[in-house]
Amino acid sequence: MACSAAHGPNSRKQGLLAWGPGVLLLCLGLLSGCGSLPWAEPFPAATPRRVVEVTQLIFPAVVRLDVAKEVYRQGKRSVERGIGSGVIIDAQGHILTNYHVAGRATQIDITLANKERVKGRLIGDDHWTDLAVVQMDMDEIHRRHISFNWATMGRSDNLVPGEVVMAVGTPFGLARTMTLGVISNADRTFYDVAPHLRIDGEYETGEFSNWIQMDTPINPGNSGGPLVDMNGKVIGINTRGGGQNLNFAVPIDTAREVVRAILRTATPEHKGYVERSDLGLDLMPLQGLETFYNIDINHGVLINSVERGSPADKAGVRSQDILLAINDHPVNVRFPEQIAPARKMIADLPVGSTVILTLRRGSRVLKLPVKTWRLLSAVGEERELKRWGMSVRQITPAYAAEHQLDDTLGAIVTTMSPGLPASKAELRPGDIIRRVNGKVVRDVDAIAGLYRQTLTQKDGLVLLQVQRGRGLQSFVLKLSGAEDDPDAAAPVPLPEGTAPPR
Amino acid sequence: MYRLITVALLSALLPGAGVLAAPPAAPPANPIDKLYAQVTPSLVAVQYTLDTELGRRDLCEGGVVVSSDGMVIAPLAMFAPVIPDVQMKDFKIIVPRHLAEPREVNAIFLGRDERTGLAVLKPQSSEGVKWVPVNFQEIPIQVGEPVISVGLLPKAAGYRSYVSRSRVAAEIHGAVPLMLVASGQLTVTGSVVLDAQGQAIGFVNATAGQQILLNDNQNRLAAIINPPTFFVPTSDFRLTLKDPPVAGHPMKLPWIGLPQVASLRKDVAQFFHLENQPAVEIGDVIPGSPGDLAGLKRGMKIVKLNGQPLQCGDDPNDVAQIFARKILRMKVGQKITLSVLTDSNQPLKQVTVTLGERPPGVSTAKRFYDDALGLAVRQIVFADTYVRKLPADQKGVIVALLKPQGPAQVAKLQDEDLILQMNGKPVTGVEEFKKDFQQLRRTQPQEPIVFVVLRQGQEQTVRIEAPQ
Repeated sequence: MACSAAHGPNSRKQGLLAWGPGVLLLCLGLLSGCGSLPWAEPFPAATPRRVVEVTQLIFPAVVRLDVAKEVYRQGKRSVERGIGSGVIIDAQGHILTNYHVAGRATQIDITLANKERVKGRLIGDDHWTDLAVVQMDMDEIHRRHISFNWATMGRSDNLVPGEVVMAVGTPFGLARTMTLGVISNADRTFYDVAPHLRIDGEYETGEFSNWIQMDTPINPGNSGGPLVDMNGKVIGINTRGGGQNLNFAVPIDTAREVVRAILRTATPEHKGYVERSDLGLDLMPLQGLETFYNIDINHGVLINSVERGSPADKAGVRSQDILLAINDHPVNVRFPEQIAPARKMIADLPVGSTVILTLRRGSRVLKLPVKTWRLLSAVGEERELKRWGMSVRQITPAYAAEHQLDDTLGAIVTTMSPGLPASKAELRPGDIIRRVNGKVVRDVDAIAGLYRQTLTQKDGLVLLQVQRGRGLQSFVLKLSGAEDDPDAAAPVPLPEGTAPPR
Repeated sequence: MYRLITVALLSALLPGAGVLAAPPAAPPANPIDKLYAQVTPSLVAVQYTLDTELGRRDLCEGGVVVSSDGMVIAPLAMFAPVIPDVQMKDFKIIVPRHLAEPREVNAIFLGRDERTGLAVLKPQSSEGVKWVPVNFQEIPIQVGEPVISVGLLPKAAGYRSYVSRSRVAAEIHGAVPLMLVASGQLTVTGSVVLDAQGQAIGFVNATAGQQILLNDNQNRLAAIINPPTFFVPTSDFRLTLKDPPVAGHPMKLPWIGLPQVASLRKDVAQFFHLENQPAVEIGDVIPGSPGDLAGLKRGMKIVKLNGQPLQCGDDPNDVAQIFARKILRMKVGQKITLSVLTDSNQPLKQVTVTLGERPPGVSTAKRFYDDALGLAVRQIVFADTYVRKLPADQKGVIVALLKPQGPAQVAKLQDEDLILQMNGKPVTGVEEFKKDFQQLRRTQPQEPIVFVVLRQGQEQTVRIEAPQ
């Protein structure tokens, strides 16, 4: 670790001066946790020898993750198993990986480079950046005298196309697989083709940073593994494979902030998280529109739409306004690549703080105070209503906006168990339960409470008022053999050593 | 040569269907020949040119002459209400002739009759044509009864008539009150169905998944490869024969203003003590509609219509569709009484509703197309505002068509986008849009056009490069 500690943020250029190629791998293999080679160059040649050295350096820090994840299927809370990769990032055994590998994990088994297997726990996750932090069971590590190495995080703000990089991971379960390639583009955006990406078709992702695009082969199971430069530093987390050598990694600069936030907020009882602000604005680049809006080139960003009921809406911001500055800091988005940084600028505002938006509306310039609120996903908290045979989800403001709902009252039916009351009554996923036995459902907590009450009903008949599309419809659930089940609808205890979802 | 091959193919496709390739020179020797000869002169094909912004195409299906002045009924499917009226042109009634080219008679489109699922046409002139109408009879039909259908082969076979024997296998009661299932094959959609005595008792109307075109260029025999098995009795379309549409005057259909009516499921009915009483539940009421003015509310259950219990089909979930069809067959201005349950412990409440007129649909909506932009827009109609949760008087125009690879499509404008603004100016309607657009193109031909559209509840800005 000592050798890597010498490398600061500007290590590429400094390293070229400070370290000569003659300084060889004196400490390599002797010091666990040595995260990079003892020299650094801007773009070292990927000589066969260098490639082997970097591979030997990074391999001990890369792990295989066998994950059981919380999912709701057929009305039940259950687990889904999968394999992914991760990279150990510190002496405390923290592992950086993808949200889509370890997010919502209830059980994690970690296989180290030395083939030892240890238990792990989810420390925190963040689907917005598709990242998660896992920690090895350090008691077990010490008890069993297991050694491990960790990698050093590099920088991703100075990458250049053509630079040689390697990916290490567990493609198709084949642990410790190294593949080599080059950076194809260091600032890739999908804004033009898919302005809003989703994980599993639900969880918003890729909003706040652009991607590293590389031709390094990536396959299922590589996810969460490190993308490493020829200095042996982690510059990204391999996340998406696009086929035909079009692959994508989350930049390490993004990951570094997420790791910090997760470790800062994680407690033994609760997952760590990243808190972000939201104003309810959908931004759009101004390229080609400057003349139309009569503004200078690279000056401001177009407000494409304003989410109904959001802070910006309440403050009087309108679509077609040009946002010029936030708290007098200019926001300039001419090109799609500038969208993610602008979104991040908003996300980084303190939650609940009042900010001043400088807007151009026609020929006028306005300054509007707006109080930010916490960024929430369209995917709300999910609950299992076991005896009804269904799972339901909270309606978040983002979900209500996406589905043009008038409010957030009720609970969304997500899945149902065949043969159980909800399925027999012919409810459908996407139905919104508005009332239970005539009582208004405010949210998932309320429906869980009403659910428990129905379990003691003698007649076992539950009248639901359901919104389907624009219409309201009645459904009756017939509960057979009603009995008291006070634990139902409460979160199911998670396996030992795993933090419950926040 | 092609026709010979087609007839050979048809013989292979229709075993036992009794294909009679040529009318007999001598008087018919058996009853089927007689029925075939009786009906053949009444069978015609109806055709029109679908003239969309992207091109023209002739569409043709089977029809039946029902009056001595040449009025023809045909399945509504080819004249679907989503097709703009202005895009249906050059109507023709095609009269097959033995050993001669079919005769094409220019026709007038009288209109659609959504009450019965039929379209009606009549010839512009009957000069030189003697129309032989089919006299449809309302005669009870028994399961097991033999039936004969006579229809026209596709254009590729010269629109020659053919006959098929079958038997009534079952009755189906649903949204269409009575539909009959044939145990054998029926002839093509648009055919006449006869009983053993030669009386016309039904019509082969279009059903879901059935090929109806007689001139499908992709698959010339598509209409007969998968023969129909359902027909409707005369009682189902008698309304059209008695009260046909009038050309230039789209049929005024009644409207109650309840767009979301659902059949009450058995367990819900039991909960509300409505066992064995078919009922429907009101899911939504359009503000200002006849139902709203009469005091109908969401959640009410309708149990009776004009004092009569609602009708239940073979599937209990058909109650709502049967109810809607009954309303559709009433008259605008007619007063109806609905018996509704407002709460499980309350007596039925009688609500009198005066049926209004259904708001116009897209078939009569004004359109404007600009080829350079590759964009057609149409007038906003009531259904557009309803699905988007917008006020009924919402302004704007709807994107009706995008030319593939045209500037509008390339700029990611989407079908069904509601255009709210064009270059900063609010869009009020099609005429204003056309005027403003043409002026923009005249005064700023090199400048891009910026639309603000409403898409899934969110405003979007779309910049379209100036077409060169």
